Amino acid sequence: MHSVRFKAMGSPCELRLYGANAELAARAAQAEVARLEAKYSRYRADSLATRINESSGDATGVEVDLETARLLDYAGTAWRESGGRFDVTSGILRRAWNLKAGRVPSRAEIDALLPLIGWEKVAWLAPRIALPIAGMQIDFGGYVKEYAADLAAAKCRELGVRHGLIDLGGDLAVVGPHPDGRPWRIGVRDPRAPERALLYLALSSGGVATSGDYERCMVVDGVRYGHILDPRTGWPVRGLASVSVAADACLVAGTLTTSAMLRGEGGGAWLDALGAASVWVDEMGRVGGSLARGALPSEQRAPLRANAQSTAARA
Amino acid sequence: MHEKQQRRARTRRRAERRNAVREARRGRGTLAVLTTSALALIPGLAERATAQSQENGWSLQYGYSMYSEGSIAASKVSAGSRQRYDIDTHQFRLDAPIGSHISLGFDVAYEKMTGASPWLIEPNLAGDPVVVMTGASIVDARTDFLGSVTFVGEKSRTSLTGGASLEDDYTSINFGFGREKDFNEKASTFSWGVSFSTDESDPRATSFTPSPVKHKKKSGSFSMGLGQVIDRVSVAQTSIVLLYADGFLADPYKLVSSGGVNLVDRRPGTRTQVAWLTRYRRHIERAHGSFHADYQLNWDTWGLLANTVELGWHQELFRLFTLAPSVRYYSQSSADFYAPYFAAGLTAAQDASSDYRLSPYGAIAFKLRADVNVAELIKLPHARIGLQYEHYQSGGEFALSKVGTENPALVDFSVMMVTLKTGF
Amino acid sequence: MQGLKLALLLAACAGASACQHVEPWERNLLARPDMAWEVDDLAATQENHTYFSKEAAMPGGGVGGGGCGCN
Repeated sequence: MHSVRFKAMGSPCELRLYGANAELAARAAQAEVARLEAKYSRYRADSLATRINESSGDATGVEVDLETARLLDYAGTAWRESGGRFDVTSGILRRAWNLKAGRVPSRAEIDALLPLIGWEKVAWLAPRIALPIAGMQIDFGGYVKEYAADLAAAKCRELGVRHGLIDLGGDLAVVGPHPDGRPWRIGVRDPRAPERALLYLALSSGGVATSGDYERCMVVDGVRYGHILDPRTGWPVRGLASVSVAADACLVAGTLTTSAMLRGEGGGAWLDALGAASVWVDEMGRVGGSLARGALPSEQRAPLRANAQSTAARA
Repeated sequence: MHEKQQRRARTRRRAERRNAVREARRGRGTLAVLTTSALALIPGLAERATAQSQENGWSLQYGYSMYSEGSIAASKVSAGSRQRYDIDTHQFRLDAPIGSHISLGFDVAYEKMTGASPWLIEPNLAGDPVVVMTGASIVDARTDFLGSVTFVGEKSRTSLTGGASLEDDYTSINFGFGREKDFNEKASTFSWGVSFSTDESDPRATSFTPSPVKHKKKSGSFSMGLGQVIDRVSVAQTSIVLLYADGFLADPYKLVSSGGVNLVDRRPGTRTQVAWLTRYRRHIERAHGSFHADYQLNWDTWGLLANTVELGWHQELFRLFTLAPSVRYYSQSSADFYAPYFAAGLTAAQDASSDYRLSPYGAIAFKLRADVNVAELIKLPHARIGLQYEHYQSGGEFALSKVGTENPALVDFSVMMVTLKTGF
Repeated sequence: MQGLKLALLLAACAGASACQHVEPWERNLLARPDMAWEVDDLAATQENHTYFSKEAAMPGGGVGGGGCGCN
């Protein structure tokens, strides 16, 4: 097995590939991730994301390529399907919620930002996108890492690799099972003891994404504030400690975990009713979801590092 | 105080869960809708998603079709109604996978026919054949049931089918076994099957029924075929079907005219038919469309030889619907014992038929089909609406080889069809 | 049966030499609904039944059910 570790999109990443072409495929997959980071990072002055954001207030907007058009279409679908919760314009809330500063913003600070948020305000008619209000921003960060994992896996398959796993900071896409046909064993973290695995999932295709309130948060006066911000209120959503979803694509899994986290208390029940393959833990420590029911209880609380072949949420 | 707060929190949590479930039910297709939207982004996802949905999804289909035959020209009729058949058909189909290895299928079709049909053909004073039609009073209904069980393996599918077709005057019961096997890493699929059917006709005694006697027929078929992936955008399939029938194969409602004397339609007691079908599909990426070509050669022991070619183009438009025009050409020779009418002196032992279906002719049909994907719109997985129109025209002039005397009862028809499909 | 299968396999291989090797994950275009042998099951059943009752040739696509439906 060929294994490569690198850092991309602000997260530790790992590719594990089998076969003659593994090295070549790993390079190609890594290049694909780097390409997407350069194109969609809002931290880079020369990225497309920055170019779109700099055009805010200009009604003519920016013309985008086919890939971006499809990503924007997807963002629209996710926004609709999540009842307006999954919103690529909500990234601007981070201005008020600086988790590193450890300060709870005032109501007025949040309210000043809300008018700039809302996918329904974006003028998106392929191939042209316009952010009509000056200061509005699009943030691809909410789903481009998942998309990158899927693309990297597709790239490996294109280069003849049939067995492997892509892990971009806990967003996983399966290239194919182990060469002997065994599925990948994927540990899901215990959100209140992130060094331990709550349970293991067996996966031979598709992808898994995880979202947890332990990833980035701050505690002020004993109250925990997570990084999952509701675009409709501007405040962090509470209720779920972590959610993992398995789907045909990591991208879809990621959209579902984010949407479920944004639903707070009701997120787990929502996933169950959708028929999604999930495992979730709420703030009270209760575990639920269709995947939890099939998991082996004896493996609960096992040390994560010792036998995990991958970690779902390295954060 | 503390207890009260806890209770309030519990009530709120319960309400939130209830709301979430309600919303999820409303948007039950969310998973499918997101996956569909991701298809355009991620190479190879389509295949994975299709494989999954085929395994997991129950689906229900309904079809309604209005079939209408053009009325027969006055110059070709000597007596009876000129109004020919109209048929309304309702079809239902349920596909129900039980677990990942067994799939059940149920089909029901109900059709209602009204109109008149050709009864016999006789020469007019000029010697040209003209049709005597039955009265327009015929009303008939047919109900068709079909059940199937398919055992789905990693690389094979085995299915058992059983069905019945019921009419007042005709009953058919059929059984079948079929097996498909993938090899070459699923780039090739070999299939074979056998089926058996037993039919009984019990013609209604009307003033137009020459032989109101019960008759039986048995038939058995064997088929095999091979499908092959040619490259990333094209596939082909070739298959052969052999059908052997034994028993009463004539039409109890038809007469033949022999020198002014009317005799019953009489055909050989056995018939062996062979059909060889080859199909080709090719996707053109640049055009977002697919080309379809089908060719079929038919041969049988009654002396009939037929060729069918169908060409179609399926154009995807705005990722929302598909528009598919197609054209079908058909040509057949005549049966050995066919004539529009016979000279005097036909004996009871001789086979004779004037059925237009056994006459030499050709036909050309134009079809236009639209498929609209409404899965996102109504949030049901795989929800789709299909609309199809076909116009079929037949005549001696369309045949591959020159036709001396055209059967006057040859039919033109049009069919309008609506099909609805949804997963759940 | 075994011999027949072998013969078919050979025929397929001979034919397949004209075919490219297509990896399973490259078959997404082949899985498109407009690439199906029958785009619509119900419509195909109905069409075949109509041709079967109007023409001498039997449909080769495999007709489920039977019945006369003749007129």
